[in-house]
Amino acid sequence: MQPQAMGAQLQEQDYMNEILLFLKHQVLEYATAVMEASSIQVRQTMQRLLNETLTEQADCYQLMARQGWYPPAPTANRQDLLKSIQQHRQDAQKNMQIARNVGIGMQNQTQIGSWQQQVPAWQTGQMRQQQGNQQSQQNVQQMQQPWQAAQPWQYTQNWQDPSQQFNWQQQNQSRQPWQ
Amino acid sequence: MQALTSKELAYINDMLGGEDLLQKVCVAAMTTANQSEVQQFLHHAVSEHQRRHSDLLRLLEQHESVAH
Repeated sequence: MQPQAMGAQLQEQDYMNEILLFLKHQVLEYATAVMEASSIQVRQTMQRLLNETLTEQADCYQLMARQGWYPPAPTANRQDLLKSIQQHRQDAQKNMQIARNVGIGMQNQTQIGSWQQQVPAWQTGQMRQQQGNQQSQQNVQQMQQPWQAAQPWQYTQNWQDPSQQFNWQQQNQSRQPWQ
Repeated sequence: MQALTSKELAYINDMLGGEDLLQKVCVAAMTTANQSEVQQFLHHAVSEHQRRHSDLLRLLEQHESVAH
């Protein structure tokens, strides 16, 4: 027994709990920062840091679960699950009917596929703007970092920060023991 | 490059504070870590938080010239 040493001091497990809580908080803060950003550059940086923090939070949780420091949540009741599926299927069907009344959802599968290949009307404005800006921005872009060169349309399509690609590939190749 | 808004500055400041504190907590936690898996995780986490802190700091520095 080491009553004094145990005392009020934080132990390994307490620290990991605290770090996990802290990471969750940080994720929410980054998510708000992403949404509140006015400039694309700030938004992209915040979004990248949000993704990285989410990954770290998952690693932290998995590590704690493996140590048995984070007991798994109780499983959902099967009846409740079936009830939810039924309810949400009904909602979806009602919504499809409503959408059909305004002419959406009449296409068959192939038509939906071909629609997705087209550039949506709401994107063309940005695309044109981007092309127009390209010439005037070319000089500036040479001075900028790779992640600064992103245009609005890239940014809306899950655009990945090129300056981070090398790192990500490295991380994927050699997974750390706690991952 | 457009100037930072006061809101953006406030958020970047908050995130810098968060990364700073997380790094400190991870360093403190390392002194109690008995298992190598935990040690390795914390070691990696400290350098990650340092890097994110410097990323955020760089974001501020890059906006210095356009601030008025």
